[in-house]
Formats: sequence, C-alpha cells, structure tokens
Amino acid sequence: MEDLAALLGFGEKGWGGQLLAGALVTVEIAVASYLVGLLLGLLGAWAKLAGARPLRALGNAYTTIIRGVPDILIILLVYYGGTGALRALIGLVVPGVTVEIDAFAAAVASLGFVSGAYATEVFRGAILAVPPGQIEAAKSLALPPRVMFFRVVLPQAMRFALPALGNLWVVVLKDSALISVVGIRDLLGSAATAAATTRMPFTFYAVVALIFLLMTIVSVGLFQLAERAYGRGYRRS
Amino acid sequence: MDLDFVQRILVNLLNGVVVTIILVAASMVCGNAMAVPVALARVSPRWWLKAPAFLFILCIRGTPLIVQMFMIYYGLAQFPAVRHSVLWPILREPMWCAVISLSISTAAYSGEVLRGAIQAVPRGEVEAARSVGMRRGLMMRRIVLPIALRQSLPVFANETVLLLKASAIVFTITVRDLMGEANIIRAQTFRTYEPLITAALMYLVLTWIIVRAFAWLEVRLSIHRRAISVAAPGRPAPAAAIVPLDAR
Amino acid sequence: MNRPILSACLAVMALAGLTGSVGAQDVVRLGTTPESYPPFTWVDAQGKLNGFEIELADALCAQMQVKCEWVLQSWDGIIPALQEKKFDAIIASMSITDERKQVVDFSDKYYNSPAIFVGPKSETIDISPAGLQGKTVGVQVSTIHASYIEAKYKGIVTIKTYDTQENANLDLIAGRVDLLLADSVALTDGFLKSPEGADFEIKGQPFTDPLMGLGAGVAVRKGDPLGAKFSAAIQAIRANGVYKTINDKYFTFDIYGN
Repeated sequence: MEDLAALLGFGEKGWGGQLLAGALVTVEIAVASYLVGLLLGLLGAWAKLAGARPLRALGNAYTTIIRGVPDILIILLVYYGGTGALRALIGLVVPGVTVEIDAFAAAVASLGFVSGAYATEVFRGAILAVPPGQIEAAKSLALPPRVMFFRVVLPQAMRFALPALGNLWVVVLKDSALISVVGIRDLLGSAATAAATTRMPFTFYAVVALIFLLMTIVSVGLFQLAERAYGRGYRRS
Repeated sequence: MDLDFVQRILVNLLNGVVVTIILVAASMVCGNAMAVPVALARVSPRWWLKAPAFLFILCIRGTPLIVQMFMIYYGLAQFPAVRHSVLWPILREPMWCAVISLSISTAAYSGEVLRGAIQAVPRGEVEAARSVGMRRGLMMRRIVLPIALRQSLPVFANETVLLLKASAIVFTITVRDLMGEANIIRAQTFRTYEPLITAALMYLVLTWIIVRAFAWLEVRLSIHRRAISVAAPGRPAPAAAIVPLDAR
Repeated sequence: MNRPILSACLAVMALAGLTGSVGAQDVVRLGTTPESYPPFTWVDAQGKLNGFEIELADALCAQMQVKCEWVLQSWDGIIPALQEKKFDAIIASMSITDERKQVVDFSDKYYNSPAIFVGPKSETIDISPAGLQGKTVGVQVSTIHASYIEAKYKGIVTIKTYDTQENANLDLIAGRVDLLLADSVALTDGFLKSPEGADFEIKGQPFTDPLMGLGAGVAVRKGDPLGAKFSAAIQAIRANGVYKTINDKYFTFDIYGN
C-alpha cells in the first residue's frame, strides 16, 4: 500500500503531479469545448428555426452527420484535417494573416464541433417548448426580434434546456478523454504514459476512472443547484 | 479526394464494417439482456438489490468508455492471477474484451432507460394487476415489462446508434473494426481525408439502417394501437429523432 | 445573463486561439511522441522529457543558434501534424524511407541501429519463414518494422499493430503476442533490462534490411530549408565531439552506425 501511495503521490517517483496536471488540461479542454459547443448550438438552433432554406439544410446536415458518425472519427478528422481547412478559410477572410492553430486549440475545435451539434438539438427543443403565447405577446408589444429573443425567449428556454445542458456537459467531459488519442497530455494521456512506464495499467486507469467519476458527480450536483435556481417561480408540473 | 485511392482501400474498410457489425450485434444482445435484471434491481424495494444496481449504473455512466476498455484489456492483464486463470482464453482476445466492455456499458445505459420506462408505466395498469392478486414477479413479467419495452423503443433505437458510435473506440485495443482499418490506412499512407471520410459515410449508412429497422419494429409492435385513419398512405412513420444525450 | 457573458467568452477564446500565432516565427518547434521510447525519449514522473534524442536535439539547436520547444503528438498522426504546421520538425526516431520521402524531406541521419525479434525465454523460436509459421508478431503501426514484417512475412504470421511500442510490450508480457519486432536499442534498454523483461530474450540476430530505411533523420516539410540546416548541425556536432559526449552517456558503442 505504501508503494501505491508513493507511486501516486507527489514525491520523486510519484506520478501524482503528472496526473493532476493532466486532469487540469482535461478540464480546460472540456470547458473550452463546452463553451464553443454552446455558441455553435445557439447558431445552429437559430439556423434550423429561423434561417432561410439553405441555412436550415446546413443545420440539418450538421446535426445529422454528428449524430450518425462516431465522435472519435469527427475529432480525428477535425484535428488532423480540419485545422488546415480552417486556416484556408481564415486566409480567405483576412488575407495575409497566418494563424497557427496549436494542439490545444485544435482539440477544442474538434470537441466543440461535436458538442455543438448536440447543443443545437437541445436549444432547438428548448426554444420550441416556450409557450407560443409568450411570443405572441412579445410581437403584440412590437418588440424588435433581437430583444424578443434575448429578453423573452431565451430566458424561458433556459429552464427547459438546463437539464439537457447538464447532460451535455457530462458527455463533453467524458468525450474529452478521447483527445488523448491524438497525443495531448490530458488526464488519460498522462495515465497511459505512467501505466506504460511502470507496467501497472490497472492501477493508473482505475485512478483515472475515479477522478472522472468524482468530476461527474460534482458536475451533476452543480447543475441540479442551477436547475433549482432557474426553476424558481414555477410550480413543479 | 483521390477516388482512385478510395477504391483501393474499399476492401479493407468493408472488412472492418463486418467486424463492426458483429461487435455491435453481440454487444446489443448481451448488453440489453443484462439491462433487464439491472433495471429490475434498480426499481426493487429490496435495498440489497437497489444499491449495487445504482452504484453499477453510476460508475459506468460516470466514467468514459475508453477508460473502461483500457482497464479490461490492458489493466486486467497486469495481474498474473488473471493470466493464469480460467478466464484468460477469453480476456486474451481483444474482440472479447471489446464485447464485454461494450455490453457492460450498454447494460448500464439501457438499464437506466428501462428503469425510466418501468416507472412511467401507467399507474392504472399496476393497480389493476395488484387488484387481481398478481404477485410482483408475475406482474413485472406479464404487464409492466412488455409495456415498458414497447414504450422505450424509440429510445432504444437511439441507444443502439450510440452503441454503434461508441464501438468506434475499440481500435485503441487493437480490434480491426471499421475505425481501426481506417486508422491503419491513415497511419501507413499519411492521408487524412480519404480513409476518414469514407469511413464516416459508411457509419452514416449503418446508422440509417439501424434507425429504419427500429422504425419498422415500432410500427409492427404498435399495430394494435393505431387508429384506422393513421394507416392512410403517405403518412410518415413515427420519427425516432431523439436528442442523443447519453453518449458514452 | 446571456449577452455580456457570451461576448466575454468569445473574446477569451479568440485571444487564446490567436496568441499562439504571435511571435512564433523565431522558435523552432520540434515534434515528438508523448509515449516513452527509452532510451531515445521518455517522460519521467515529473513530466520532463529525457533521453538521447532530447539531448541531441538540444545540442543541435544550440549549434544552429535557435530556440527550440517541444510539441507532443501521437505517432500515428505525426506526419499529418507536421504538414498541418503544428510543429516544424520531427525528432522521434523516424527512419528515412522512400515511402516517407514522398511526403516529407529528411535531414541526414543522426543514428542507425538494427532491428531484433524478442520473445519469451521459455520458447525456442527460429527466425525463418518456417519457424515463424503461425506465430503472432506485435509491431508499432506505421513503423519500418511494421512495413518489414508485412512485406516479408505476410500470410505466415499474424501481425498485430499497436499505437505505441509500450502497449506492444505490455501485450508481449501478457502473452497476447509471441514476438515483438522493433529497434534493438529500444527493446534491450527499454524492455529487456526492465524487471518485467527478465523472462524474455532476443531471438535470432540483430539485422538490417533495405526495407527498413537508412537510419533516423529529422523530418521537415517538403521544400523546407530547415532540413539542410539540421544536416549541417549534425555534421558539426559529429566533428566537434559533442555527439560523442551525448552518445557515451547512453550507449557503449557508436550509435551513428554506418
């Protein structure tokens, strides 16, 4: 047992520091990807609900492809291929500027791209769930569309979206473990190195599982608190 | 996109598709079979059944599938006791480790879905069963489970698609499924787009097949509940478009 | 709640993404793998990169008078990552082969060592088509050893490819493969000398083959003059003894090879 403590601790032979650093990277990537996903989700929901036909088709294609293709495949495609395309795109818009997309940004882009599709569906469902009477009332008061969206629709939609957004966060957190496949030193990547060097894979992967479990439980708890805060004033149906 | 190149790798990728289909089918059968006792334990009034089921579902759904797979494939092999045990011929094979891991994952996710469906069975049915004196076991078997299973079919369609997507991770434990073949081609020829995009298209086809199959199944099982007017031609089948939020 | 927070997040993300690009021109980024490949590269418990190649790279950068920093990238995507400009050169024991020369340029070699088969001491395995019939051999994906075994022994052995050499080693210990084929130094220092490697030994003799390339070189993008700069630096440190100093720290022989 002492050996175990030494191995996982922070001493000279201890991999604890490495694992903690990896956990930090995992959380950073997960948070950044989640935010990117939320942004893409809002854009996607808008495209699918209020956009012209080509926009709607684009939105549908986006969600259909992500929902039908494995996340790891999308991540590899965006990470190894997408950043080149992104640079070309930026080069078209702002010529002459070479943007270097480092590993972290590429990872966030790929994971964010995947979670954006799920978020699109969440927001679309939540916005559709807002009682139509609210929108009619807003229109009858001649509120401009942007005000109507940000002051009337979105706050009420958040109440419906929050449980699903909590779910989405757990999904993004777990999917961030896949990023280790491209070589980023996240939690799983650091553990894989430690496991290989010490030839004790079960020990280190079990620790990784435990850390993820803790993060999941904490996240679920936080989101339940948020749900309660957002649901203030509404009777439980 | 070099279509010539795509043609050359098509055979390898199709071999991978066969492996993927076997993997998903085996895991679906084993996993969903295990999901029923897990769900029943989860709703059981006996705490010594409910607690382990709850912990099982929590641990499996709270940790990434790739970590679970590494623990089973590389982790268990760490112990000489396992390597010399009677289970070793099974745990030695990456394909078996993949099926075991995916089945456990499916059992947890489907078990949770089934639990929700069991608890959503109309109270009236349960009361009627109790009022004629059915024991709990008989009631579960003849009344509650059939209704729960039928009601959760759309979600099961979704779960199966999620299983297909989750199966792509098995390439990390040396299984040569569709994703594995695509990755080997990618590493050996240094091309990113061709193998990955072709594999993505194949996954889309497989997803479409699963969704259509479940839609057909749902129609077949709900025939007794459909109003005459619904059977008019041109009426679309119930869509199985649910948000896939429980990704592994 | 929504708008100010949204714009703040956008601003933070944009900044974070673009700060990577400013001032990146005068630093040479070197790509290597995070998976350990001792004694050439490994990561110790403190997270520091160590090994023959790391020290050699430091010496080369000092010779070229540039600042170098390391970027980690998994092996199976390392060439696409180079082409995507995630780094400027690969120093990861990558052998110079014709196949790779089609997509990248190489500097001159900086070491060359033969390959060996490793298997359990308890089994006698003859390294020949007859002796290897039906055996399972583990190799790392996309290496010269994978190409060799595919070309020479296809249909005779079952080939299992792994994303890292370390995972292949783990599976040899577990008994999932009968033999490993990899670099002789990596297997002796990295595996046979470790406590778990005590039950294993070299089968046959160390060997080289034209299929396995001309030794390890620094890979750069096609047309990049950086490759020539590295070659000049390699020749320079061979001449002024710096190479020998580093070499003797890790090996009892000259790993430059012939």
